[in-house]
Amino acid sequence: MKEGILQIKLLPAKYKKLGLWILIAGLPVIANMIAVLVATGIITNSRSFFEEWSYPLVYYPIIIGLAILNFSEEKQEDEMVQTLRYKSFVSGVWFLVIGLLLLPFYSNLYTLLMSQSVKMPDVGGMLGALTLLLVYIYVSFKYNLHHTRRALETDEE
Amino acid sequence: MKNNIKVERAKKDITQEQLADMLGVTRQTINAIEKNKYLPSTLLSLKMSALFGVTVNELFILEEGD
Repeated sequence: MKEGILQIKLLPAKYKKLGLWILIAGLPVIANMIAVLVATGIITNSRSFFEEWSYPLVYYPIIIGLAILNFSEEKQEDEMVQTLRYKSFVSGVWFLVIGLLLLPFYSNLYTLLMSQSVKMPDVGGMLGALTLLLVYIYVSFKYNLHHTRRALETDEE
Repeated sequence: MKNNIKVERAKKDITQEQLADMLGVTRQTINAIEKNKYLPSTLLSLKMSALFGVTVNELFILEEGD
């Protein structure tokens, strides 16, 4: 049977170990690399480097590790596993949308209850990434749907 | 939806593990199908009906509300 367009193949199951290792060992490795870079003088202004980079750098090994884990096949991959993965992806995106939209509210819950001034948390980047994800999902879905329908129209007898 | 997979499996005297191997799926998938926790694809349903020598309609029975 012909596969649909924009089919992304999952990584083989053996990559799960790599994902797990990056998740566990990634952070200490990055911390050591930075320490070496500072010690050798490659990073000259270490104070500004840590202020600008240290916080986002924490997420890199976590995101790479989790991405590899999520996009790797199971040892025994079959249609039920694929269905369960699809359901997890759909619910994951759904909870991400709800969670990010509500983030300014629950991060300000205490200040609201105390009648203090409310500050908007720094979620601009996250909202931008979420918008891109949702735009991609919509465009990709409509593109696939359009092509499938067009192919069916030409095949109609 | 009900199914007669357990019955057909018993007639042929094959275990869930053996059936899973024949169909190229996991034993957990066969277990989930038998317990109506997972609805198999058309392809897997056809493979199963061919293996048992029955029609898909004999293997899977629609219930009211399906």
